[in-house]
Amino acid sequence: MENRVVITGSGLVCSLGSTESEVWSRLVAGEEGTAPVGRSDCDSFHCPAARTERFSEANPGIQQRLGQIMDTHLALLMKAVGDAVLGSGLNAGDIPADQRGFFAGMGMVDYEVADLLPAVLESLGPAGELDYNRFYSQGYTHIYPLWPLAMLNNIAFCQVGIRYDIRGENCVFSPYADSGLYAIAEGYRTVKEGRAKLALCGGVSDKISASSLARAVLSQLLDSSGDGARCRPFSIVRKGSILGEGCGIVAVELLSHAAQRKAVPLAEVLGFGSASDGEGELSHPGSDTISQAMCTALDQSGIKPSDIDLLIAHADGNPAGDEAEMEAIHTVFSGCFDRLMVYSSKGALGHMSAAAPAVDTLIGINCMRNGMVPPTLHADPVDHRVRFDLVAGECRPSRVRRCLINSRSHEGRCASLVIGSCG
Amino acid sequence: MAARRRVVVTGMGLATPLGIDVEDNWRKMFAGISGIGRLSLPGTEKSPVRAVGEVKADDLERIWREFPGRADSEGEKRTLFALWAARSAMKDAGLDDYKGCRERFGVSLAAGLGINSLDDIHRWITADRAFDYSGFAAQCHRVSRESILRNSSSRAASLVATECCCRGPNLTVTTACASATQAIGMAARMVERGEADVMLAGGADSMLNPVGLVFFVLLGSASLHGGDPVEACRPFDRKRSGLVMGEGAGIVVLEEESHAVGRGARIFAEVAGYGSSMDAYRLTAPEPEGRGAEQSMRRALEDAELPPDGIDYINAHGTSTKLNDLAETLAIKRLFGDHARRLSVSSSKSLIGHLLAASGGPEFIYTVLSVNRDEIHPTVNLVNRDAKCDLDYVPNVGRAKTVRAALSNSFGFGGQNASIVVKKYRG
Repeated sequence: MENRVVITGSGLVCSLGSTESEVWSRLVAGEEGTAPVGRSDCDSFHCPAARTERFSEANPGIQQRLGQIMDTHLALLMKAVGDAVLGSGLNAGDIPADQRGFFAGMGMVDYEVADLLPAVLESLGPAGELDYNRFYSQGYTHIYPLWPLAMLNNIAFCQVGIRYDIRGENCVFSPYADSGLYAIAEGYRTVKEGRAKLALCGGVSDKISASSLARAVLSQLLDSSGDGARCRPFSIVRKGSILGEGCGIVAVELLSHAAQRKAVPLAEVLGFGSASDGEGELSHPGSDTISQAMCTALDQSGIKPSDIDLLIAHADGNPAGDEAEMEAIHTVFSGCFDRLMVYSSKGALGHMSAAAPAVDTLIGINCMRNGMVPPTLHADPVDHRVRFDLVAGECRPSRVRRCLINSRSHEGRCASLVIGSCG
Repeated sequence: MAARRRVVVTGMGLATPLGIDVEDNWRKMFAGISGIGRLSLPGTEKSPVRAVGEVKADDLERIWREFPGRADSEGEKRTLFALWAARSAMKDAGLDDYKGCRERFGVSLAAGLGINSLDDIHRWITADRAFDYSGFAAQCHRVSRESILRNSSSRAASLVATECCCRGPNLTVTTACASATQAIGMAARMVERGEADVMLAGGADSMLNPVGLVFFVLLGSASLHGGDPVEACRPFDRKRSGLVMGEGAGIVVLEEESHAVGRGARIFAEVAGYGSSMDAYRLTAPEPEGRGAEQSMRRALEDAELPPDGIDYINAHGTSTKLNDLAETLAIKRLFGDHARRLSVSSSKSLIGHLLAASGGPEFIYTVLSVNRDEIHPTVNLVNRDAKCDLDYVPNVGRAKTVRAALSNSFGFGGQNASIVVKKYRG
C-alpha cells in the first residue's frame, strides 16, 4: 500500500483531437486521423499522415523571442503537460517545485530546409558550388541565431519546465517508441523511491516534415503504396506505417500522497520491463526479445499473463515487426486467449514514435475506466496466423482491469508497461 | 527491506583529444598537457572557431582499423568513438568474453545533435535558388551518410549493444551537455534497482562539422580565441571567453558489487549517488545564483548519504563561459559552506575541451581515477584571478591528495543539471 504508484492526471493530443475526451470518443467511434500531409514540402512523398492541428492555447508559455523557432514539439508537449497538470491539481501549489519530476521520450528533432537554405544560398561559389570559406565567413550569419536552440532535443522539455516551474528529478530519452515508456517507467520509480512527490512523464512524437518523412523512408518504416497507404496492424496486407504526431503525458504519484491531497487516481502503474536484441541496424526486435520485455514487466507487477485483460500492441504494420510481436504474444499468453483482448491504436493514429506508448497508456486508462475497447482500424483482413482476440470492426464493451502496453524501435529495442484499474 | 544493491565501476574506455587509452589520457591530464589545438579539418580555414579538441588523426585511424566492417558504411565519428570506448571498457572489465547471461547487460548512452548536412540542402538547389522538394522526396536515398536523417540519436546505443552483446535495457539520453552524466546516473539506478547487473554507460559526441562549428557561435557561447589554441579554454580565469569544443567518448562498465566480486573483477570505485534538477529559469543562461546546480549536487550527496565535508574533489562542469563558471562557484560555496575552501575543484574541459553531450563520460572517468589514485588533474590556463571565482581550482599543476569521495557535475543548455558521487570502494 505504502509504495503504490497511481496516475492522477493526463494529457493527450494527437490527430484526433486536442483533448483526451475528444480523442477517446472518436477512437471509440472508429474514426482515424489519417489525411494527406497538407504541407507543400511533403506532398512529393505521396503518403498520408496523422498530423495534429496547431494549438493556439499553448502559446502563453512560450517566450516571444523563441516563438520563431518553437513549433510542433513544444506546442504538443505544452498542451499535454498543461492538461495533466490541471487534472492532477498540481496548480493547487501543494507540491514544491523541487519535488516535481519530469521525464519525457522525445522523437527526433529535425531541421527544416528553410532554416538553412538562406545560409547555403549565401555560401555559393561562382560555379554554384558550396564554398565553405563563404559559409564560415558570412553564410552562417544567415541562420537565425536562436535556431541552434531549436535543434536541441531537450529544449521544448526545458521550456515546459520553465512554464510549470518544474525543478526536480528529470531526464529526456530519445527517440523511438521505447523511449516514451522508459520515461513513464522512470517517473514511476522516481515517485516510488521518494525522489519526487509527483512526476510528469510521457512522450512526444517527431514533427512531420520533409526531413522526418525522408528518415522514415530511409528506415523502411513507411507503407510506400502512395496516397492509399495506411498503417494496418496485424493485417495480412500490412506494408508499413504512416507517421503520426501527438503527445501523451501522465502525472504519477504515490497512492498515499494522492489520497492525502484528495486527488482522484485514474489508474495504478504496476510494472515495467525492457530488452534489446542487438541484431544490428534496421532490425525489429525478435519475438524472444519482445517476450523478455513483457515477462519482465509482468514479473515486476507481480502478476501472471492470465491477469492481463487487454494488451495494447505496438503493432505498427511492419511485416516483420508485427510478426515478431504476434509470436511473442502467442508464447507469453498461450492459454489465455479466451480472455485476452489485443488492440493497436496505430491504424487510427499512425506511428507517433516516442509518443506512441504514452498515448497508448492513456487509451488503456480510458478502456479500464469506460469498460470499452476501441476497434483496431485497417486490420482487416487479419493475418491468418493471429490466434489471439484482436479487437477490430467495432468497439467492444468489456471489463478491463489490467492492461499491458508494448513498444519497440526498429533498432532492436522494446519495452512493456503494465497498468491496473483503481476501481 | 532488502539492502541497497551497490554499484561499482569495473571498466573504462576513452577516446579523447588526448588519446584513446585510459592510462595515456590520465598521464597527460595529470601533467596538464592540453589536447586542444588548431582546427585541422579541411575547408575550415575561415571558421570563426579556431581552437578545438580533435581526436588525433592517428587515433582515428586506429579506431577505423579496429572496426573494419564499418569502414564503408559509417558516416559519423561519434558512433565510432562510442564503439571504441565501449569495446575498450568491456575489455578493461574483463567482460569481453564473458559467458554469463547477457539479458542482464544493458546500455545507457548520451547522444548529441547529429549532423545537419549543408550538402544535403545544396544538392537539391534549383537554378532559381529554391529547394527541389520533389527531387528530395524522390531521391532521398542520396542524403549523405553522416546526415541526421540516417543516424538516429539512439544508433550508437544500438550498435554498442550489438558489438558488446548487451540484451537488457537500452536507452539513449538527450539532455544537451548534461546527457552523459544523466545516462550514467540512469544506468547506476538500473543496476541498483536490479533491472540489470552490468550497464555500459557514458556518451560519445562530435560537433566538428560545418553547422556544428558555428552552433555555439550563433548562440554567443563559443570562444573565438584566435591566439595559441592551448590557451583558449580557461575555466574560472578572469579572461575566459567561452566554450571550446572537443570530441570523443567516455564509456564505463557499471556493475552490481556482488556480480563484480563474484567474478574477481578489479573495482576502481563505487558509484555512491546521483541527482538531477532543472533550473526552470531560462533556456540560454544558467540561474545566476547556481540554485539548480546546488540542488543537483545536494541530491547526489543525499542519495550517497554523505555529508558535504565527505567530498574532497569536484570535477566541475567548468565550461569557461562567464556565466557557468560563476554560477557553479556560487553553488559550491552555498552548498559546502566552509568546506568549499578545503575541497579541490578542477575542469577537465581546460585540457580536452567541451565534449558536449558526451562531456560527462570522460569527466566521470577522470573523477573515478582521482578517487582511485588520489590524484587530481589541474585546471590549466588559470592565471588571471577572477575575484568572484575564488575556490581552489587546482591551477595549472596536478596534485596528489587523498580523495575519499568526489562529485562530477554536468549542466545542460536549457537548464538541466546532473551530479554524480564516486567514492572509494570498500568491500
